[in-house]
Amino acid sequence: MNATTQPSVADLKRDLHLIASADPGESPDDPRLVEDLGLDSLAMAEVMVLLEEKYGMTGQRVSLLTRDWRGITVSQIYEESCRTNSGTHPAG
Amino acid sequence: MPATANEVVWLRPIQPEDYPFLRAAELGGDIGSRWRFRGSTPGPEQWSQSTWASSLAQFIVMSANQNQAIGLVSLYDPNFQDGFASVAVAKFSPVDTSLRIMSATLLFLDYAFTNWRFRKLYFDVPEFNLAQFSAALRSHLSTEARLKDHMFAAGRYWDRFTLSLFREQWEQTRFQFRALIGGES
Repeated sequence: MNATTQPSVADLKRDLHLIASADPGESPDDPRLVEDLGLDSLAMAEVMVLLEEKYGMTGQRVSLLTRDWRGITVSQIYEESCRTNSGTHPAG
Repeated sequence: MPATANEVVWLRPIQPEDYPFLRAAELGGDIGSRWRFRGSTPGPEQWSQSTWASSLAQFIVMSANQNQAIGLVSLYDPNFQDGFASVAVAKFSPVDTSLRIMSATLLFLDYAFTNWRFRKLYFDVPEFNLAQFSAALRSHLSTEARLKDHMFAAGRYWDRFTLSLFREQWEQTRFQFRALIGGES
């Protein structure tokens, strides 16, 4: 991990809006990935790659692939990435 | 040899004992009007014949943890002289938001490109399903054809899109999504 490049929840929100091609100004403060950002299956695949490579969730692959993504918000997945990284912030 | 299984799904060849379940899934429920018969209900014999009529390879998608059938992937209408075929994917549960079907689709595309020398694979997509391909169209698939008002469904005419995935693009896509295909960590 690199303490100087720890991505924040704002970083994750920005990354997810980029993948969704969504306007942050038109989203709720804590948007749901599927319902609010409208991420389709392939976009969710891109999200999974992002979560593994930038947010350190490599060990959560099966969980990321098999979970029901309905209702899951940006802050929820960010907090999960923090827990995954031993209670610290995600890897940069 | 290409894999037909990973951590979350496996591709199981269709057996005759699957026919009643598959026919029911294909002719009813959410995919009944979207899949190839689009509302008509062929008899069991006609259904089984047409299931294999133009098929090169098709598998039932099984979830690895529950060992449950969750979808179907099919490679059909191959043209070996010109190097293309078509791919179809069905998800049995419309409310399944997991990435298992996507993982199976990527696994199946790898299977298709590895077993045969196809230059590209086609996806025939009705207009009402096009939204599901939004992300794919941004960076993976190309729109090769759009047939205006080509098909009638749900009380109106819809366009039909032919999307393509070239082998060269697939190599990039495969690398990007290698975590979903499996075989690496």
